Amino acid sequence: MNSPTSNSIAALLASAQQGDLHAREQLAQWMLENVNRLVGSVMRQGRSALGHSSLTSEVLVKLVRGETIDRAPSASYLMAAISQATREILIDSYRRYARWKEGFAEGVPADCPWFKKIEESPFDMLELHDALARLEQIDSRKAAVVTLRYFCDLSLNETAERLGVSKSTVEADWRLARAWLFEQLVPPGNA
Amino acid sequence: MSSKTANGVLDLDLGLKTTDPLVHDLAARTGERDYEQISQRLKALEQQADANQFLNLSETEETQELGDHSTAGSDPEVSNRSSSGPVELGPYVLIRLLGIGGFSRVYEAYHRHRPSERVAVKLFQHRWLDALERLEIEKLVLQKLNHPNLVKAIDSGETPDGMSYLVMTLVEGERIDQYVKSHKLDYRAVARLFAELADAMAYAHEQEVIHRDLKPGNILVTNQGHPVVADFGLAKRTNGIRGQSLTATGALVGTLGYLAPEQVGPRKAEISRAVDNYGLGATLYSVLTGEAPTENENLLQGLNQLQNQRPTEPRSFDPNLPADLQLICLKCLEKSPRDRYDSMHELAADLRRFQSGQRVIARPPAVWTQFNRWVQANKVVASLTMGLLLAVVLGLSVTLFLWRQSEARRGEANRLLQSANTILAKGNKLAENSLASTPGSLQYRYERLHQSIGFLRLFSEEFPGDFDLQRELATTHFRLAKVCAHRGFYDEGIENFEIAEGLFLQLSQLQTDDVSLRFDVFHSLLGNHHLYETGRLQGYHSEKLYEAQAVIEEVLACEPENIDYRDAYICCLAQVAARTRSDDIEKGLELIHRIHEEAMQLKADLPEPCLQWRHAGLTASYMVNIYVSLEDWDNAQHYFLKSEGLINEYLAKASKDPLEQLDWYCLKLWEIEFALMQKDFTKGRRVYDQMRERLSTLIRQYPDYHDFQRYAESLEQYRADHPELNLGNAESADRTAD
Repeated sequence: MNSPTSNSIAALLASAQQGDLHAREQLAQWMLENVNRLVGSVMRQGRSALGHSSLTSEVLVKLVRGETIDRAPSASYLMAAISQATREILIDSYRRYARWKEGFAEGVPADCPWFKKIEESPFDMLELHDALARLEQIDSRKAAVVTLRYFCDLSLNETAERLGVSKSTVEADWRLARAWLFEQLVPPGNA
Repeated sequence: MSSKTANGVLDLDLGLKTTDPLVHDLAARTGERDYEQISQRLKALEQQADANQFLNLSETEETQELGDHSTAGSDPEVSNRSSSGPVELGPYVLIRLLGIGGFSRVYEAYHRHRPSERVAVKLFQHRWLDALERLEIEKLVLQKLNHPNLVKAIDSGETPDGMSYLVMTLVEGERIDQYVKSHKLDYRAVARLFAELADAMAYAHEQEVIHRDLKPGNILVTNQGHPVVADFGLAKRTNGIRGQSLTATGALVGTLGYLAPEQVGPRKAEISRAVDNYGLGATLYSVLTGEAPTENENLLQGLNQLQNQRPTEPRSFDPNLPADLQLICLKCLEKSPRDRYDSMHELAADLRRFQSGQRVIARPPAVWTQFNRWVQANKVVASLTMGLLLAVVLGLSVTLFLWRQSEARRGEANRLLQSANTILAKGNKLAENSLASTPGSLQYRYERLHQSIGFLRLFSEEFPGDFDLQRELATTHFRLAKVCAHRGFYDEGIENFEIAEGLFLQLSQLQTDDVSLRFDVFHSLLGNHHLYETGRLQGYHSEKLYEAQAVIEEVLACEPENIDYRDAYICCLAQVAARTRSDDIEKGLELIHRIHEEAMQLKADLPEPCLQWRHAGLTASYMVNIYVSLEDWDNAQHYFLKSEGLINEYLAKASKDPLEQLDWYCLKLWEIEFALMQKDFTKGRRVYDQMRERLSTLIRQYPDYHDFQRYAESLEQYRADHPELNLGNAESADRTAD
C-alpha cells in the first residue's frame, strides 16, 4: 500500500465515519502500518518490556477498544491517538514492573534498559504520564510531539513527517510543551 | 542534533503565538495577562528544564544511531554464521530453518553424537519479558507433558552469548488441514482425528496446561495417521504464578481467525480451558470448510465479527456435512465459554458418538442465549425497548407525581404525561414488532408488557379521561393476551382479551366514527374465541365467535372496500362455517363456498404472497374438510392441492409469525389420511416422519411456544389412533432388508 497523504487520510476518515467499510479498512491498514513502524522504533531503543508483536497488538487492541476511528475529529488525531496508546502500554508495563519491585505483584523482571533509566531519572515517569494526559486535553498535537520524541525516540524530522506538520512546528511544539511539562512536574520553588 | 540546539540556545524566541492553547492555559492558571511576562516565564521554565536535564533527548538520540546498526539483522548470530558452514548450538547442529515465530525460530537439527536422530530446536531471539517468560513456561510445560499426541521436550540450554534454546522431538508430518485434504478423509475419520486430539488436550488440561493457540498450523498429522500438537509457545499453566500477567494477544496480528472471543474481548476475561475447546473447534471448522471461523483481512471488522457474529454454518460450505458434526463444531465455537463443552473429555466423547453413529449431546444454544444474541445484534432496538425505555418512563412519571401536587403545573404535568405515554407506546410497538419472531423472547415480552400495564394503570388513575392512554392500555392488554396464548396461559390470556375487549368497546362508544376501534374489539373477541377453543373450556359454545361476526359485519358495512376488514370477515366466517357444518352440512358448504370465492377474489387483487393468500389457502382447506365428510374425494383432492399450493407459497415467502408455520399441519394430516385410504402405508409413514421432524425443529427453535409442543403431542396421539402407520414403517424396513 503506498502511503496516503494527509489529505487522503482526512478523506478516508470522513467516509469511514459515514459508514464506508472500504474506507475504514484502508484506514485501519494505514493505522496498522503506522503502529508497526512506531513500535519498530520503540523496540530499537529497548524501551519495551514486551516483544514487537505483543506491543503492536496491545496498541491495536487499545485503539480498537477506544473506537478511535469513530471518535477521531480530524486526521491528525489518529497519529496522536496511536502515540498516546503506545505510551499508555509502555507506562502500563512499567507500572507492572514497579509493582513487582515493591513486591505487590507477581511477574518476571524484564531485562529492559528503559526501566533502569526511569529509576535513575530524577523525574517520576508516572507523573509525567499524567501530565501528558492533561496536555492531551489542552493540545493533543503537542502531547503527540512529546510522546513521539521522548517515548518513541523519533527524530524531529520523523516526528514532523508522522504528524504531517513542518519541522519548525515540531521544534516549537517540543520546546513549549517541555517548558509547560516541567512546570507541571516541578512545583514552583522546588526547581 | 536539532534537539541540542533547541535545548541549548536559550534566548531564541519560542515562536509563541498568543493563540497557543498552552499560553492560554498558563495565562488562565497564573492570572497573568501580559504576553511578554508569559513568554519570560516559559523561557525561565525551559532553562530550568535544561538545567535539570528534563526530558533530555541527546543521549537517547545517540543510542538510536547505534541501535540502528546493531540490530539491523534480526538474528545476527545465526544468520552470519550460517553463511560459513553449519551452525552449532551447544551440542546441536542446525540443519535448516523450519519456521519463524514472534519470538523464536525453529530449526531442524541433530545432536553431535546422534547424527541420525533429528530434533527440532527452538531458538529464542529476544530477551524481552515475554520471550523469557515464554521460554520458561514452554520448558516447564513440555517437561511436564508426556503424551503420544503432544510434542516432547528433550533438552534445553543457553549459548555462550546468552541465547536460550529448547530442544523438542521433531514431528514429521503434514498440517492437519492439508492432511485431511490430501488423504481425502471422510467425516468419521476427521472425527476420529479430533477425538484423539481432544483426548491429548484433556491430558494436558489435567496437567494444568492450557495451550491457548490451537490452530491448523500447530497441529501435525504423522505418517502413521496420528495428530500431534506441536507448538506450546503460548501455553499457560493454570496453577502457575507467573503466567497470570502474560497477555494473550501475542498472536493477535497473525491468527485472529483461531482465537477465542475472550482472548481479545473488551473485558479481559479469565482465560480458561474453554479457550482450547474453541481453538480445537476452530481447527475443526477450518478442516471442514477451508476457512477460519473468523476471517481476518480487516482487523477491526474481524474483531467485531469475533465478538458479535456467529460463524457461518459449516453446512453452507458443504451441504453433505452431517448436522451432528456441525453441532459439535459450533458448540466449540460458542462465544461464551460456559456454552462450550465442559471438558475436553466431553468433546472427545461426543466426537466418538458421532463416529459410531450415535446421537451427539451437542444441542443448539438455549433459548436465552438466542435471545441474548438478538440483543447483541440489535443493540439500538434493544436499548430502546429495554431498561432504558422503562427508566425514562419511570423518571417522567416520578416527576409527574411530584408536579401534580400543585394545581398551577397541571398543564406541564399533562404534557409530560403525553411524552411518557408516547415513549412507552413507541417502545412497546417497537419491541413487539421486532421481537415477534425472535426465539426465546416470550418471557421477556411477557414481563415487559406486565410492567407497561403497571405504568399505564398508574397514569390512567391520575388522568382518567385521557383517550390515548386508555387506548394504549387496551392495546397492551391485547398484546399481553397474545403472549399468554403463545405460552399456553389460557386463563390469563382470556382475562386480558376480555379487559382489552371492554376497553376498546368503551372507547369505540366514545368515538363512534373511528371504525378501527371496533375492529380492535373484533380482534379481542376472536382472540378469546381461539383461547376458549384451544383451552377446551367446558360449556363454551362459540358465543365469542358469533359476537365477533356481528362486530365485523358492522365494521365492514362502514368500509366495504377495506382489504383488512374483508380479510378479517373471511377468516371469521370460515370459522363460523366450520361450526355450522357440524349442525347443517349443506348450509356449511354453501357458506364456505361463498367465503372461499371471496377470499380468492381478494387474493386475485394481490399478486405477491401475503396474508390474504394464506386465508385463501385456509378457506380451501376448510373445503377439503367438508368434501371429505361428504365423501366427495375428487373435490376434496382438488381443494387440497389448491390449498397446499397457496399455503406453502405464503409460508415460504411472506410468513413472519412463527405460529403460522403450523398451517401445513392440517394439510399434511389430510395427506396421511389420503395415503392410508389408498393403503399406501409407506407414504403415510413418510409424511408422518416429515411432520414429526418439522415439529421437532420448530420446538427446538421456539421452545417457549406452547403450541408447537401441543401439536407434537396431538401428532403422537394421531399415530396411536392409527396403528397402520407402524405398518408403513415395518414395510419400509422390510424393503430395506430385502
